[in-house]
Amino acid sequence: MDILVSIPFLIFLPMLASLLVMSPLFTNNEISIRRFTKSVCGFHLLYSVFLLAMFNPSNPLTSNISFFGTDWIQALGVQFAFKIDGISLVLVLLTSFIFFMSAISSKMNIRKNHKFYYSMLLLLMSAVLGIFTSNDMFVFFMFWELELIPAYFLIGGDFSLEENSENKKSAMKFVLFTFFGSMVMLLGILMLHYYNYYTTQTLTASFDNLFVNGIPMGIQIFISVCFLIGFGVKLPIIPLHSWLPDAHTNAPSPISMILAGVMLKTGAYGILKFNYQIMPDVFRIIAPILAIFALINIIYTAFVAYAQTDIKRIVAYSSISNMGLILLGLCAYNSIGLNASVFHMIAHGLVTAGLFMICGIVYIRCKTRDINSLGGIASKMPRLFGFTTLIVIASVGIPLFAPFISEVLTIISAMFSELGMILKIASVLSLPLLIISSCYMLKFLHNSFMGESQTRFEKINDITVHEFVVLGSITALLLIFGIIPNVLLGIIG
Amino acid sequence: MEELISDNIYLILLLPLWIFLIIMLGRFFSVYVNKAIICGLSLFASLSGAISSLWLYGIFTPDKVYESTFPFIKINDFIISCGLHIDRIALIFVSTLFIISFLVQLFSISYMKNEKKEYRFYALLNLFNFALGSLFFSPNLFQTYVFWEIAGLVSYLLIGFDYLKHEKSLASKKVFLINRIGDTAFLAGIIMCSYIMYEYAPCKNLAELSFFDMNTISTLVSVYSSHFLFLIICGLFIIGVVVKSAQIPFYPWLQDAMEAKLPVSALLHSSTLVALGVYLIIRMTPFLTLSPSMLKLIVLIGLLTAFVCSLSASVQSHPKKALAYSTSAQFGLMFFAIGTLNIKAGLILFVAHALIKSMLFLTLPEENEKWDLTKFIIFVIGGLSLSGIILSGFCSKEIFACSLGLRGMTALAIISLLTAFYISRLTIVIMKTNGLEKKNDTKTEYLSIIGLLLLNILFCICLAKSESCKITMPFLTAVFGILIVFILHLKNLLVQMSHTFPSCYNGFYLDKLYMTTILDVYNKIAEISAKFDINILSNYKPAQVLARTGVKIASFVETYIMNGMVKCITVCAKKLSTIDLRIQTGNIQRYNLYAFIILTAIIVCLVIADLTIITGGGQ
Repeated sequence: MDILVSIPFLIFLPMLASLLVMSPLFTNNEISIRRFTKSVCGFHLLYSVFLLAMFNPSNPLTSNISFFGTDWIQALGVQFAFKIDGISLVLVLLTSFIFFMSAISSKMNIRKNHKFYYSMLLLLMSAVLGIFTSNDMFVFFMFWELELIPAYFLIGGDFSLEENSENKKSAMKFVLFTFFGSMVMLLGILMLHYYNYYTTQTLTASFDNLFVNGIPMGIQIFISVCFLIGFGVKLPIIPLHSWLPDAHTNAPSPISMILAGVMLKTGAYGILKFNYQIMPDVFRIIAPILAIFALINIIYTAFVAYAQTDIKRIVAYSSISNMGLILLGLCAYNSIGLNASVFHMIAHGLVTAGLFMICGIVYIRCKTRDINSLGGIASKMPRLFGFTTLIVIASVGIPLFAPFISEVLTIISAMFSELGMILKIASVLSLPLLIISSCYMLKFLHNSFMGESQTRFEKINDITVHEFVVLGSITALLLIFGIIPNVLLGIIG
Repeated sequence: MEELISDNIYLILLLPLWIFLIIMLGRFFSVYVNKAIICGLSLFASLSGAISSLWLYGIFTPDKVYESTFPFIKINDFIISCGLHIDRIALIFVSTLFIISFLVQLFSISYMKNEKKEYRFYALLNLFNFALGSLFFSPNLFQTYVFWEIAGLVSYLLIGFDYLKHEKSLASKKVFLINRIGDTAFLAGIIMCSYIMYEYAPCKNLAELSFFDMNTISTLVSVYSSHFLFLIICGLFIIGVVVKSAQIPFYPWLQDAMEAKLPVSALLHSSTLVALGVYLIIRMTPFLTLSPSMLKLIVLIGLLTAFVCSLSASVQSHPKKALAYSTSAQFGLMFFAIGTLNIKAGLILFVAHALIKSMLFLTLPEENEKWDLTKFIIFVIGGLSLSGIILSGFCSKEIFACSLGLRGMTALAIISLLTAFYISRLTIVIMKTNGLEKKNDTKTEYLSIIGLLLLNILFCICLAKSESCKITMPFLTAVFGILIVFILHLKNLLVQMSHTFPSCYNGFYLDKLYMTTILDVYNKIAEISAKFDINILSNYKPAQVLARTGVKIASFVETYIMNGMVKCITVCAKKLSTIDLRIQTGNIQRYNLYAFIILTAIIVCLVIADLTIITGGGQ
């Protein structure tokens, strides 16, 4: 069985499929392209579930699935190396799942340029998987940059029948922000690489062999801050966030699902990998400061979300708020916090994908996303209303749904943290999130769905089978992880 | 036998959940739409719950505790478990819950006959039973919190049952949000306690805050935390409790909960949502006994709520609102009882109130319809019982009064006077506005109302057997209150009372305060932060200016310097070519001359270089 476990296959399968779709020999027929993409994503999901089955955290031999390729750039000691541990595996599963859901839900949203869209989607999938599995700084960086190309085209491309000039602008903004971040991050990587060589006399960029204890503290802090800025753009940490609402709002809904569900998590994963695992000493010093930023993320954006009138913007801001919670869990620097963070990446990925999906469904049918002109559509779409209620309830942190577990665990971990008073205060101050988030989420639910039904929404239909499958599976997963959290916590370890 | 039941007690809880799933999924996939099956299933679930919990109550001795847990969340040495913790207190709450839920469901069969989405109603009632049952049986504070939230959620869904009506959806949202404040305070208290246990207690297991070790936990918390922190923790728990039980200053949400349907109100006000506060405060008594000031606070809150809400209730014109205020007031009395550490009296008051209040709600007439004569008679009996003149109301109030001192007795007497006043005034006002009539069409409604009445009598007999009751001051003042109402009725002053006391009528403007000031402040904060986000963080002027100047500099460099250099080179090249043209004349002597000059120059250079190397080497 072990011979079937292959990380390169896991990562490069979507890329190969993407090249295939892009090639001129491939058919131009919309339906076959979509079916091909869906089957690739579906097969990929099955394969990652198979990896999960092969993974056994209690046995040290199977707790890491590693693949060491050949040396890539010998002069720099860069290896083409990949490694999957519990956290990566969980995130790979999330990626696989969200891309599958996104591919299914693309049917209604994407009306033009199918070939280009689906090949870019698959390329993006490869890039994200590469980020989550790479075991070498330069390979990580390569995938990090590779992610930008498809993401730019997916946000800014012409995929709907209506004219939309805003999305190109937001795609540009996204790329500029991320590029700025990755340049700073590259500086950090190069410095770390150099100083590691300087102190240990071994040329390596592998996460396993980096040894930072000999590096002077000031330089360690500088490197750490470089990484934080780089990942803080993607996460996003507050002053660096303004690309997010624009990009999420103007992208097609399936892409918003991916952006919020998976791409933001790459930022959190980066902080986890670079700051938390490689440079723990520095992280312990800067964690209290970072916790303040996390707190600002949590509370401030929750207020901003309440004032929005576009339903997609509400969801976009709510995801910034939730990413702050993930950051707070990492800052707590204990095992509860780590578990809670990774759990919240999954839970929030599912919730936010579901919410963007709902926004897309509403927009396609009602042709508007303005919360004041919507209203009363529950009578026409009872099934969508049912799913929306469930997902909204999940997102405000009601028990029996996954986000509850991670929110409470995050707050507990910050309280249990040994890094001083600031984290305990942050833990107490982040509790009002439970109230504020229910304010904006209930506003979303009540203003857009409940109330008297309007005559101009007479002719809208309820959800189709495709949408039913997507929302149903997201809700089911939320319930499963909420009721049996040990399933996920056991894998994370 | 006993072990068999207690080992399988979770079936009581899972049965409603199972039926909820059957109804919802069956409906969702349109498998079957039979009303009779739905009603039958949900009646069966609550009846079996009621019977088995009552039976268990009979078997359980007062000190017996049954506990079984399994880990729910496990991260290294931090474990949160869930499971069952059964003792007599839990059984009292659970059996009251299931009995009233059964009777209310019986009532709804005819009441909800014309409702289209009846199935959702029964499904939600089942989910509610499941959530509350699991809450009352929960072994630790974490599980309590989990089901506390679910109960709040289900009540939100029940209140907003007709979500297409604007007012109802708005009211449900408000109820949910206000309850959320209390929940958050409760969670904060739990987390702080858990932290202190995890950090300092000798045994890490204590961090899951099980009720079994509550005495140890409370002592340890008071030892390891400063006095101030201990007060904060107690205060957080009290906020959670006070919000759920609709006490001062959070009582307005109960008025909004009145948008719910009649059976739902009957359920919410008697044994379910508001009862959670009483349940939790009884469970938290080990904490309260350690800080006398907190006990005083609870007594104060209870008495103040009882007084203020009774005043408000006595001028209401809408019957449901009056009953809502009355619920707050009666729970205030329970808080008074628990604050004086008379837990038994608190429990008796709770059960009696649950039986009476659901009876009162179920006998109310529909708006703009005549009042059925049978219902009227039972309402009057219920009213008299609530004021403490007959039946279980009398027994419970007297048992409580006997344990009080003179001051407590006086307070109770005043509240009793007000209770008798508002309930008899309410009877007369409804009678006047709606009018009486004899109807015969709704059989299951009678069944459930009479069932409640019988239970009331039964409970009274049980109390009279076990406890000694004697007539005291509250009874007399209650009779006096009814007399006052009669006198006012003869002078026709009852109906206009709602206009003469506007502040009482509006619940002392607390609701308006919340809805105007706090909501405004919240909206302002949200707007300001949104503006800040768009104008400053998103379109940050200095950054834009910087970017523009960067572009300008680049364009300057590009147009003048870079292009200038290129131009310079081309000009130079042109000049050079003209010079070259001049040099290349075709004259061979000249070429030879050039070659000679260049060669001599090279040789001279080489010689000089050689010399410098030699001299340099010589040194």
